[in-house]
Amino acid sequence: MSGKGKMSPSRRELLADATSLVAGAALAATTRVAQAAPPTKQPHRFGMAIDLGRCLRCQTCVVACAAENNVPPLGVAAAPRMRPIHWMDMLVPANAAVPSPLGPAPAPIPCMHCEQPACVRACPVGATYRADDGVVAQIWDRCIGCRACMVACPYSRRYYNWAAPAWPGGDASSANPDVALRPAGVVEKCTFCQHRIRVTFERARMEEESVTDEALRRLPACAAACPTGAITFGDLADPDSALSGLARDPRAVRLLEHLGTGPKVYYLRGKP
Amino acid sequence: MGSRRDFLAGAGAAAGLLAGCGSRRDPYLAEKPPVPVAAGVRAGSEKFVLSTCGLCRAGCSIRVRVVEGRAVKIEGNPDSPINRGGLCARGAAALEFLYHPGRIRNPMRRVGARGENRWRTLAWDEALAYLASELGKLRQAGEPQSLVLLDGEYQGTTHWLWRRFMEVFGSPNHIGHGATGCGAQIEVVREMTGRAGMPGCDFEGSNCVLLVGAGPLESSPQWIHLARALAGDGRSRLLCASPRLPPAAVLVEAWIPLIPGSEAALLLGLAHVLLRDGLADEAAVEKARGYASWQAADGSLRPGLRAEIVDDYTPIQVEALTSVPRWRVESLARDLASARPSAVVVDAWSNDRASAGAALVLNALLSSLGEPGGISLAPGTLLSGIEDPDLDPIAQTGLGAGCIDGRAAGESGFAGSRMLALPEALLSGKPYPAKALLLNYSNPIYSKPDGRRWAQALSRVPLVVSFSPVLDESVLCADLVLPDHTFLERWDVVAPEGGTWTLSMREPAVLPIADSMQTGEVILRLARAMGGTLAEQFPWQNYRETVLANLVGLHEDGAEKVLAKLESTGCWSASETAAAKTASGAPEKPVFLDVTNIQTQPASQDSQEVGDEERYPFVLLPVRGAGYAEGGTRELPWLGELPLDGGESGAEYVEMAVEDATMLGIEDGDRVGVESPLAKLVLRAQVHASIKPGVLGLRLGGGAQADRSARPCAAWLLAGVAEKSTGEWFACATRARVEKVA
Repeated sequence: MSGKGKMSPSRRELLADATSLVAGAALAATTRVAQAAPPTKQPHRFGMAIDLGRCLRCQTCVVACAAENNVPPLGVAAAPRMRPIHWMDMLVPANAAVPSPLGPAPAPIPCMHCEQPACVRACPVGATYRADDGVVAQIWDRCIGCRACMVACPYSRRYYNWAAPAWPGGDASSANPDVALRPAGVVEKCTFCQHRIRVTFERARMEEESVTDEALRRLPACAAACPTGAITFGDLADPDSALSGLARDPRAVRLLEHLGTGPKVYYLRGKP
Repeated sequence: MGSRRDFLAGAGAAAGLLAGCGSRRDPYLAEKPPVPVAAGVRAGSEKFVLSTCGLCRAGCSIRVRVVEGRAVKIEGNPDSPINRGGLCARGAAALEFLYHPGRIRNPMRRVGARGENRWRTLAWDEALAYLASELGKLRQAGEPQSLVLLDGEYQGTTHWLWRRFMEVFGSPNHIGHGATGCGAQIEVVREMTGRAGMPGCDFEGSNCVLLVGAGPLESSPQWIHLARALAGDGRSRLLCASPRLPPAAVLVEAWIPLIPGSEAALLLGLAHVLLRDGLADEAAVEKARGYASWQAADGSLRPGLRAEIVDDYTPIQVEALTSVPRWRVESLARDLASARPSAVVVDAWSNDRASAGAALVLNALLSSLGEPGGISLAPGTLLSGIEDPDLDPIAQTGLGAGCIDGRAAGESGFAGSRMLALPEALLSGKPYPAKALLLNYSNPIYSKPDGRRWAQALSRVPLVVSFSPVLDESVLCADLVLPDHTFLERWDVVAPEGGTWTLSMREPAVLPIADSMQTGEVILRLARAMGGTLAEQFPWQNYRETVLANLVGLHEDGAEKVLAKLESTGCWSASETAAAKTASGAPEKPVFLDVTNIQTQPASQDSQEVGDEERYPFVLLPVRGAGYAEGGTRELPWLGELPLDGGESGAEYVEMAVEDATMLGIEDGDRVGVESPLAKLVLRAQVHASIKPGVLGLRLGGGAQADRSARPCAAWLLAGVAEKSTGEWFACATRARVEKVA
């Protein structure tokens, strides 16, 4: 943590409190980031770019996401009966007759965090919403498990949790305290690691610094773990961010753009 | 919204209080933390520990996030010259190994029959005293050679302590997994150039890399170096010569399918084209013994490697051996020659001695040895600072007895040991019976070819000791279990593999979650408990002291400065020091010394197939998938559910070509019966286009997690066929048939 020495003890405590608040809150993934974030000139629009010319399809992002967000494996008993839950998944084009804009190879696919999210319109109880920073979030406590959002999402990026998570052998020691344990009977999804965004901005606010684009680039767990740096996270509202540069790249495409959902995940095709 | 929520939460809490210990749980109360805070740990405490991943030999530096004494996340260390902050799927899933439900909690001694899984818990002192007295009996009887150690580690201070222990004890039987792993490559490098360890590749600086072997982009420790190159500006063309390309290997520009086991012939064919067309750089090899004509020990004159390449490996001959069209051989050679710097990399799991040697020579001809963008060979190991031990007469007799695996005394090193001969030797008691077997990082019943035979062999040994941290098939056959720490509980300094001259720090991330003990520490205590020469030759108080004594003081300031750098950044690189360079200032380039031992005959021509072609039309190609470590993906269930690897937890997969599947009416995901002359199994089919028809890709390391009794798994289908001339495993020697099951 930079500037650690300058911090007064009381400030330090404040910070610790803030983190433990985040840590303890079962609602970690549910409150608005914008409330904690410092006032800025314009709201953030967080997005992601995935460079398929660098991606080795090693699926490290898939595992890192599961480890970060307390998504233990289904296990031998449940696995054959249930759709595996991968908030960060691999998109495998199944039908060669319908060519994918991303080509025939598999590609990592998180939630698209759409500007006009179809899932939000479908939800009858307001359990999912587009936060002020562009993250499409889900309030588990409010979700009634009707799964209308799953039908609405054109990217199939939502998962219904049929069972409460069970760690191998029942030992949840590796559970991340920053993310609530997922309850059964609700729909869940990628949050762009909202808890990590919140901690980053909260720390910066307390240290009276601004969050640099460099600090954002590998912020979500998938981007942090990617060994080839193929995943870039950032703020689309900042025209100078690395992400904005990649979004303007001629190699950039988005999935099902014509539906008007305005996905904020860009794919870069071909060689860099 | 916030206020409403607060109000509701407050009301809920109040209601809860009013109701006292009401039977219905208040839905608005926060969940309790999943794991209560342990005694002596401050609630909310958080730290990041620099450590080194231990799931393969690449040595990636990691940062472990530890909250309230629990390791909750593994991320890469951005300062590492190996992985620069990245990870692989295995590393990201490694916490599942730490908190594995099958962890062995205490030292144990068997009370029931073997395989019954009934144990008596022991204290460490008691367990070590028992082992020391049992081993002491072997020395008293004057037969120390009847102690056999099967060691799955290749390097590091623990491995080095084992080597010393066996030597001082007086047993030549320190047997590695080399014959089924990367031993062939290490041996070839040592014989030809006198360098140590696996070759590394500078993917960053290379223009074109030819990957050779069954799973070049999966479990090989080279993989992280390729990933790092992609993260930077490395834009090398990737070509792949292999019977099978992983479906995920989309960055490979060209796939050259060939007959399993014929890789060496292709590489020598490429060398032929380079030599014929004057594109080869012979400076590094021309002075080596055996390159030009040479006189063998029996007085006969041999033509030499160069003449052999020129005469026997024309593209036409190579086409017959490999099924690669002659024009492809020509164009591939020209691609590699014109794109220099270019390099040839053999899959680290490939145990094919012929292709390892051919690749090294071809790299030399492409002038890529020791050059930027080429292949690097580490000049030595960084952990070998202690002098050789003094041996007593008992040890000298024992070491003179010759190895139990059939090697003569001193014939070949650890990596070249003939593991495949071991089951037969244990079963027949020839050349001499084994009285005690130690298993370090080794579960041969599950992971080695013909596991059934291993299970029989282990049951013949009077004393089997396992150091495994988790319960496995071989532990169930053991009499004594001395559980090791997992790498996240250990202190160590690690020398990463792959041509780089670096060290990586391993700090324990968490306190041991079981009453386990680091095996290096166990060896020291065992030696002390045995007394006499053994105690004298292991004077170090603890493991840490041994590591420090073993650190070669490459840095001008010695081991302490190296350690200080390791402790602050997690890694240390020899390139920062002057001592690693020669007097001229440039790193010393490797030079070929001797190529007389090169095996030019491809493995497929040098061994006997198991199973006749008519009944068994397919060739089994063992594949170590992305999650393969010794214990396999089954120890890390996240990896068993990865979307590209089938996604079914506990399933074992066989890959087959679309053509074959169509002919047999098999579809992707079907259950198929695979039968080899050794075993029959039901596996799940994965049908894809990038596997040579007639080849079945057998993915090792899967299977159920809970049941660890010795029962057929993928490796049991494979025969332990050794190449006639080298004793290395020829992995593609087994034939099989496959059919759809209802």
